[in-house]
Amino acid sequence: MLNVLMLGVGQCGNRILDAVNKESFGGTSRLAKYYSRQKFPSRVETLAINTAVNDLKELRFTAAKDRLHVPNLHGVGANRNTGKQGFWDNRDMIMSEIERRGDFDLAFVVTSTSGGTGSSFSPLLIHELKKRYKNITVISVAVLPFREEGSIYLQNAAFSMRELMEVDADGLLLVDNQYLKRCSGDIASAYDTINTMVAQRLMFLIECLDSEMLSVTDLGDFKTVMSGGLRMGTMGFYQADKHSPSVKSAIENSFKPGSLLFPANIYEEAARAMVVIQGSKEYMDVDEITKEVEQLSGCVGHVFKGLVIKKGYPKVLSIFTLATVPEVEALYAQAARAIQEEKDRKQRAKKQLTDAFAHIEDLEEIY
Amino acid sequence: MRMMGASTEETGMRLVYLGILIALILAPSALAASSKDDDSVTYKDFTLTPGDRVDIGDYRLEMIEVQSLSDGIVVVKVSKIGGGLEEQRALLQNSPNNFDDGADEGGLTLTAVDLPDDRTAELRVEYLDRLGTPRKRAADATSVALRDMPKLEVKQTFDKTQVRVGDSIKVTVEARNIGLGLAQDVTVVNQPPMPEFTYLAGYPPKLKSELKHGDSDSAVFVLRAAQEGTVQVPGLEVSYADSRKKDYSNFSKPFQVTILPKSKPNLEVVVVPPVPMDSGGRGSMNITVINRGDAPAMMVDVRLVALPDGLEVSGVDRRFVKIAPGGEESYTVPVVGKSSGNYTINLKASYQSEDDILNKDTSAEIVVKGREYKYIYFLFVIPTVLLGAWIYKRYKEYKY
Ligand SMILES: Nc1nc2c(ncn2[C@@H]2O[C@H](COP(=O)(O)OP(=O)(O)O)[C@@H](O)[C@H]2O)c(=O)[nH]1
Ligand SMILES: [Mg+2]
Repeated sequence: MLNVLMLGVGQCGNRILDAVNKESFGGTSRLAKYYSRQKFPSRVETLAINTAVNDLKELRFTAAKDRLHVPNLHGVGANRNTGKQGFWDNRDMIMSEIERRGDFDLAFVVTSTSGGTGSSFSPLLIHELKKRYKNITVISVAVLPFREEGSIYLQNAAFSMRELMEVDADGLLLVDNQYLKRCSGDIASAYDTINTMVAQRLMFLIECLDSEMLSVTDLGDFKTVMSGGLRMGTMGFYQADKHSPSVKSAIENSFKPGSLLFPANIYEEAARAMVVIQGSKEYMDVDEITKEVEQLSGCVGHVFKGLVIKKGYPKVLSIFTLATVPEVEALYAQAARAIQEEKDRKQRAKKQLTDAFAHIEDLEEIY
Repeated sequence: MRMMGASTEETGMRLVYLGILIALILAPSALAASSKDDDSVTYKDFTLTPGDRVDIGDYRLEMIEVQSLSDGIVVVKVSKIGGGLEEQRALLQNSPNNFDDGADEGGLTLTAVDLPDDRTAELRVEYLDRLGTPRKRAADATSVALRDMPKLEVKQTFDKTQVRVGDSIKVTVEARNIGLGLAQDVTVVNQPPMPEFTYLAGYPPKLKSELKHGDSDSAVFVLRAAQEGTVQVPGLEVSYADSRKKDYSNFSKPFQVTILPKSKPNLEVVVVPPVPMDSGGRGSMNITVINRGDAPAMMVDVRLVALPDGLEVSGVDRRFVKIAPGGEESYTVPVVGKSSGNYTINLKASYQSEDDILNKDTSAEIVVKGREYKYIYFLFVIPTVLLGAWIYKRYKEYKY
């Protein structure tokens, strides 16, 4: 049995964590928490961490004891330096809250890269986790901002991603808000949709890693996949239904851009992959599955394959690490431009003020 | 002052005081006016009844009638000896009227200063001093026309203005001749009957056909209110003629009568059932019959309509000869619960009004408890409490 720790840091991380908790109730009714029980495939501990108490209050399916408020007098205000200081000041409190929950084999740190709290806490948190738990695998689930959200968010995303890569995390799963824009109308429901998508994939991933059946993937395989390529990847997911229960098309669909959380062309950009297929026996045509996986292996370095027999239509999760990430590069270029513009603006403003002061340089106040 | 001298005859104390007051106010200007030459304007007040005349120089003023006391209108006729002026005019109280361009130009200015009653007017006459002293001539020297003219005052009165359907009303019609001449052919003009009433007796009313000055006559008829509502009773017309067969008529004042619905008894039966009793137990039930209507309920019969098997009740059936409006009768009967259950008993009260038989049904719940009662109660309460506690616990668990 795996011991899994899930940390949601900052508002975005908190919300995705809440979506995970909602999934554990069965994922449907708002009132589920009153009559149903949370069911995780493994032993899963969830903890929502935030400096903003209102963001914590907003959660619905996360138990009160699993919400940790880090007191920070004035909040973080998207300033990562303030955020880091806040983490250092409260490090022992935060870590002891985690350590109280026992030992862990696998940790997910879910955060946005662009905000203040999550993006500054997460790299430091990963560092601390690695220090304290010797055999832990830490994966960060990082949410990239909408590109229109402004220069500070872009800049934060650029720097915090670099830090996430520099600390010894075992890999980065990317979720791109921009890419998921097509989801639906207003921002709140778009967030909800994205968060549910992430939650479903994570729940399924844990289930697959912990299954005791034959021919399945395990934590070791997952680690190997995540350490491939740039150690950055994303997740695809597809659930077949009674109209087309074909396992072949379910697998193919899980590779399609529409099923991924980050824009990538799997056949050209992936470095390693893991494909897990679940479903009733009658749909699990081994030949077809093997053919599909072999086809993928032809383009991608290595593909781990897992089969789980469980009642239902085929369900496919695919995890990739990428060898090239043009989208990330583009984001850095955009961030650099934004930072440069910001700098220029500041300088112009400063110069204007200096010029203004120059007018009274040799003068004194007269009364 | 001179005007004091003028207000002689039957002037009341009131007028004297008024006169003094006016005199004091006008004293300086009046003196000034009189001390000037003959062309200054002066005035004099006269109290006149129909037919009275005042002569001033060539002018003759005659009071015709008080046309409306409430509106303050008096009719006068002014003429000039030798012709040149012959005018009848209605004067509004307190507004001056010029004849022959008014007093300043050698004519007359007349003002009705007071109308003490419907036959009397106090007129102020303004004129140039040089016209000489005005002289009043009392009515007996008046014109034949006025002396011959009768005038009937008509009154119609109901003995009550608020009645109920079925009540009768006595109507009095009265005509009084306040004119000088004899009224002949006095007749109440037949009107279409009012649908809200039935006419019982004395209609159409008949008055004496001749009424002399000052005489009056009255007649009575009886109506019965037939329909509820508010009725506008139109003025009643009485026609008459003078000695020269000239026709006149006059109306009484219209007024309103309210007809309320017929009064009725209205019984309410209030049953206070016994407190829930154990099976085999005894209790008592109280029955109160109240008359909420506005007429007495007669021959009130209270009966038990149906008695369920599990109950024993006796003594419910009663008769009351009369329950006055607002009155009540109350009594208590014993109840025995034979077996457990929720029972409904039905009571019927029948009673009579003046012209109708009325019924009132009432029912009451009687509870006879069984042994299992408490047990069932807990069966319901315990799960509810447990469920509530569970939900609250979950709520606390997920409330941050
Ligand atoms: N996918 C997703 N993104 C979110 C959500 N809430 C905020 N974000 C994104 O997170 C970024 C802001 O970071 P946030 O987590 O609010 O800041 P923090 O609370 O200071 O860490 C923006 O780019 C938002 O678009 C959410 O519920 N889902
Ligand atoms: Mg925020």
